Amino acid sequence: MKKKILLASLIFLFVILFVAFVRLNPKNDSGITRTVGTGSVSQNTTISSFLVTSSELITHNSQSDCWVAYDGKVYDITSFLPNHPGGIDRILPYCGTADEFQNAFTKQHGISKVKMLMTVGVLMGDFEVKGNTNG
Amino acid sequence: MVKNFEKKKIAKPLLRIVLSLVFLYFGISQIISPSNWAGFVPGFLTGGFSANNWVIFNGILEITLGLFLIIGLYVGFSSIILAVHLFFIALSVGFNPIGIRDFGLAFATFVIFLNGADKWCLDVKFVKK
Repeated sequence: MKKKILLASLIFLFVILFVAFVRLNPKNDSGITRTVGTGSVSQNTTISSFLVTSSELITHNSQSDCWVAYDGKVYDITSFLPNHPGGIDRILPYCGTADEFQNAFTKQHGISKVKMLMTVGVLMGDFEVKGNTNG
Repeated sequence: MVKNFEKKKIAKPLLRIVLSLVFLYFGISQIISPSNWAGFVPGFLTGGFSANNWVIFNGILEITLGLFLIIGLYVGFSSIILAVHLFFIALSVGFNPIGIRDFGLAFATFVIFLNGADKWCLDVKFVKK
């Protein structure tokens, strides 16, 4: 019995050490570096000064590179695609779009998942509409 | 061709090991990229504890219990916790393909609980000693 508890404790300790190792490694998650236009930005830095034009947005329209615009902000949701509860196919047609994505998103989720979009997507900058800054 | 008695012999451990790999995969994925999963954390949980921290906590739980399950340690305890946990996730995801899949996985995990420890489990080896 004691051996069993000892083994369980060792496994738990191993998991904690693994988590500590992964989370303290700057390459993971919060340290993702993305490139927008001519600038390289970190997810943790302020990037609101970056403007994404509609011509640039439309180029990020694939499963391996999916950007969407919502409420004047552009988000990279590539890494979230495989985790979308409704499946990748439900989002894929809207990659690289602004109004189309926002309409479909609002129709499906209302505003209940806006916070989620902002969490799972990497903010790439403001969406520039016809030469004017929106947002 | 696997004979009938051999099929029965491997059925329980196979289900246990394969399902534990599923939990380990998702647990590790949550630890590596918690922000990908943060959106699934219910709003009422994020008051004093950030969504990312909940995901990491959940990842620790899934990896630990997944490891318990794969080596057959505390099989009953691990499988019922994981089954209930996955059942609530399936409920929160709702009636869509992913929700249905999670519902099926939750019941498969519950079957492990019903099966109890198989002969390859460490639980059985500890009892023998």
